[in-house]
Amino acid sequence: MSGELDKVYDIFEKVGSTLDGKVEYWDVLYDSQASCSIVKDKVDVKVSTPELEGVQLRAFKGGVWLTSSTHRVEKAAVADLAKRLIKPIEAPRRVIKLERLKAHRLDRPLPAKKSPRETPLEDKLEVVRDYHKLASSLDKRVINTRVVCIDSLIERAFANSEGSLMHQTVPRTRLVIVPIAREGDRIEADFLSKGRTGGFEFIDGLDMEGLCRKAVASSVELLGAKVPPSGELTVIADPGMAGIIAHESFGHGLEADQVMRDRSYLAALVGKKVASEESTIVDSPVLEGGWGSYVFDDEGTPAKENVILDRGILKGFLHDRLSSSALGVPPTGNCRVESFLTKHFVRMSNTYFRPGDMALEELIEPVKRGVMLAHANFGMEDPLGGGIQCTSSKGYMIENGKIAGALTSVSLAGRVLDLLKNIDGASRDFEMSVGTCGKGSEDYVPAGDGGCYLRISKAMVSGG
Amino acid sequence: MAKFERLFKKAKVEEYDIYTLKTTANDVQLRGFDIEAVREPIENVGHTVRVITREGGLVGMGASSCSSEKKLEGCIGRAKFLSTLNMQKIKYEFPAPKPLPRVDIVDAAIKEDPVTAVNEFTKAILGLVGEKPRSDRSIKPTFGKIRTYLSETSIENSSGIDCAKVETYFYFELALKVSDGTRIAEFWPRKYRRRISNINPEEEMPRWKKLAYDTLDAKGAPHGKFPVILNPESLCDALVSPVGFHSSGDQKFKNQTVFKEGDTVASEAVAMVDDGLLSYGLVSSPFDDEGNPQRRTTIIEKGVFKNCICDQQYAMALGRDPTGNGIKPLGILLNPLNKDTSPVRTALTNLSVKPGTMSLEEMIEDVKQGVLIDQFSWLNPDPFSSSFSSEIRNGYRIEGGEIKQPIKGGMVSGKVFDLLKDVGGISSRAHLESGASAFSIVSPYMKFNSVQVVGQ
Repeated sequence: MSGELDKVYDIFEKVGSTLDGKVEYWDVLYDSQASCSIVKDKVDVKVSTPELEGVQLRAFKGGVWLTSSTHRVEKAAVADLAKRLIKPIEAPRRVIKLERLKAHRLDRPLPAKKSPRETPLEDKLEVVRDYHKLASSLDKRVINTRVVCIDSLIERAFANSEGSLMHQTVPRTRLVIVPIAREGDRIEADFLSKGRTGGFEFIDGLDMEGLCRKAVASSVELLGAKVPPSGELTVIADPGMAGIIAHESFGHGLEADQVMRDRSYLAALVGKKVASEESTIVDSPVLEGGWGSYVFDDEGTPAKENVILDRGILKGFLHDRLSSSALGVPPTGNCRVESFLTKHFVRMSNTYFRPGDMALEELIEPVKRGVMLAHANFGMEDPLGGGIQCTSSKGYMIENGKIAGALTSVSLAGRVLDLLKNIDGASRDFEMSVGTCGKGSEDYVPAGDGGCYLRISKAMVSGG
Repeated sequence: MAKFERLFKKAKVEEYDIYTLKTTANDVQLRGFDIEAVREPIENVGHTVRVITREGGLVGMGASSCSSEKKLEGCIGRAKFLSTLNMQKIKYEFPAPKPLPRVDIVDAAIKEDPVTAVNEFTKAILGLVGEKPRSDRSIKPTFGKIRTYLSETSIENSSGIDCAKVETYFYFELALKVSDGTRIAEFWPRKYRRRISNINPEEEMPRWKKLAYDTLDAKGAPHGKFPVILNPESLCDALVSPVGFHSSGDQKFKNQTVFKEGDTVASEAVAMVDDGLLSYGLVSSPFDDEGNPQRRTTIIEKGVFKNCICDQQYAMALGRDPTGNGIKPLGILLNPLNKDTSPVRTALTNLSVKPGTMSLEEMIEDVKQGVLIDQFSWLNPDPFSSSFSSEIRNGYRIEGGEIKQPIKGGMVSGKVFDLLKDVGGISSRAHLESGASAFSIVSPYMKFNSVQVVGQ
């Protein structure tokens, strides 16, 4: 959009002149998302450059958000929509007053040395072909390899009735390798995904041979992997799985809109010890390179680090403006939208367990019979019930303090607070993963999660 | 001349297609019994252009998208450039026009006045939550979403296709919380439909409330291998991804499927059809997202895998006719407002599972000890291996042929393809359902004889 920012700010002015004094609060978000996707397998390579662009207007009146969204980034069209927000509403039973906040002026990109837009497509294609060629050549049992390279540039501008005027660009670059291995009728595929905020310099800096060998070895290993045991066992979660536990099990329950909905099992536990000493969980949109990083959230609150669990003590919730007004605390910069088409919600950014001081070997050594969950796949929140479900794409049996063999995907379930209390060791490693987070089953935003290896003395697992 | 033909001629592009999606949505979002947000309108337009360049025996295809007609010239230029960069030995031609079937996919109520439709449904559903309260426990919504979509889709291509359709969707979710003062529990229905009238609140709300009330008394799942009965919603998530993956022509071409035509892949009672023409089916349409006519394709008959489904590219690669399964799939990450940007791939339309002859009650009567699942946390099988495991959110323990104890927690796990070979009953009434990780099924309840349940 560069060069057209003035046009967007003109639209913002028009929105202001239409809504000032007619609603309690208004804001406007310009959203431009451009990406380049290259997907190669043994048959073909598909290249596409999807784009999404539009404006979302919000007005707050009588305790209710009124919202309109349009792809028409034009002054007249947006002004028409703004007029539609000036309408009577039925007051809710509980009217929340939106606290006034100070205005922010901010114009900052997250850095990219090789901007996604300026990196020649030929270069990106060559890298994808090289990865594909190498990964496909390493083992005859690999019948196909899918290599995906996606970069995106999200550009957002924001203004509100308090005088904020903000602009940010967030570049993201990601590489995924999926070797598909087959022996007879058994087909298995693991994936290796690397990504961060930043430009194509991230791909340049990767160890292609090392990553391809690791990805291929992992898929091939799954061909001989056994079905995991079912029941309560000692569990070692790798950093990716630790991240999913932090995110799904704990983070969603700390989104303060769930508290306002009376839907958080954690609502009454702030300030209390809910987990073991080994457990410190942070949500930070300012983590350098984090997949879920940003400069300001989508209602203009500057991003900052939030410690949500400190050595087992629940510190507080993640907030947007409305929940912070309702609960009388400052917003935490966690209000996000998937795009101009979706509603604002309290969301996580980069959520992780802080590392401990043990070596991975020390975590495994005392385990007589257990399971390591490796390569996080997905999870699902249960903010009301406090349940947990996380699934890894593979696992390893642990017997008498040693890794004893590969397992197919493993799921972990149970009650979050039981699980967190059973964490009795954290390694000194630290690794972040690339993820996509939904609110329920919609509204997907980029989110990072990770941390260190965790040992959980007892958890329910099963084949996934 | 078709609407956009001039632009392609100007760009000297000979082979192309352009997919245009215009969608308007509106919704009400609830916090408790209160309205938290009213969103109206939510409007979006997307154009996705695909261009083919040929050089000798090589074919290059590029795709690009934009959000306004003003940007189309640049978008066409970008797609053309991309097509020159990836010349490959594949077969591809844009499909030629064929007669298109008629199929019902529009809700007149949404088309005529979506705002009133949403408001009336919201009022009705909230009224029903408070009706006939139990004296020993409270019930209330914690949040909800009621939304309509009205979409116009058109496809033009250089082979002469120039087709258009109008369709509607209705999305509904409502989390119901119950409490007896000390304990809390939840049931959280989430559903897509074509028409608002496809959800009957008077009929559904008592069942949803019962599930929420019962979950308050839930205990953990039993541990062991038991008969498990899955409801249609759970079957949507269990079946659509692995069956669709291993039925698809692209996986066959790549030697990545374990289904071979003529092989037995399920119990004899199992029959499945990909029904692209189901009246008000969620993925029903006169044409797929490449412009080929949708149709019905038998996937499994008497347990035997019968036919692949194919998009245009893999139909050509396999020397077959396309089956109308070139789809921009809705579901995770994509909704009717932005699916235009998704690439076309081979996917099921509406998976229709043939009903059996037993009632659900008769199926339950046959179970000495087992489990009935009403909702999983998130069932999302691996498409390659079909392995799955999911936490039980709402379910019941069956003992001596009767529903006994509500259960929550614990997991059900296994491989979907093992389950399909172990079917012990199929109920006689099919229901149209959307899932959490997959989009559309018409299915009865199914009982699987011996499934791993992981409990305390």
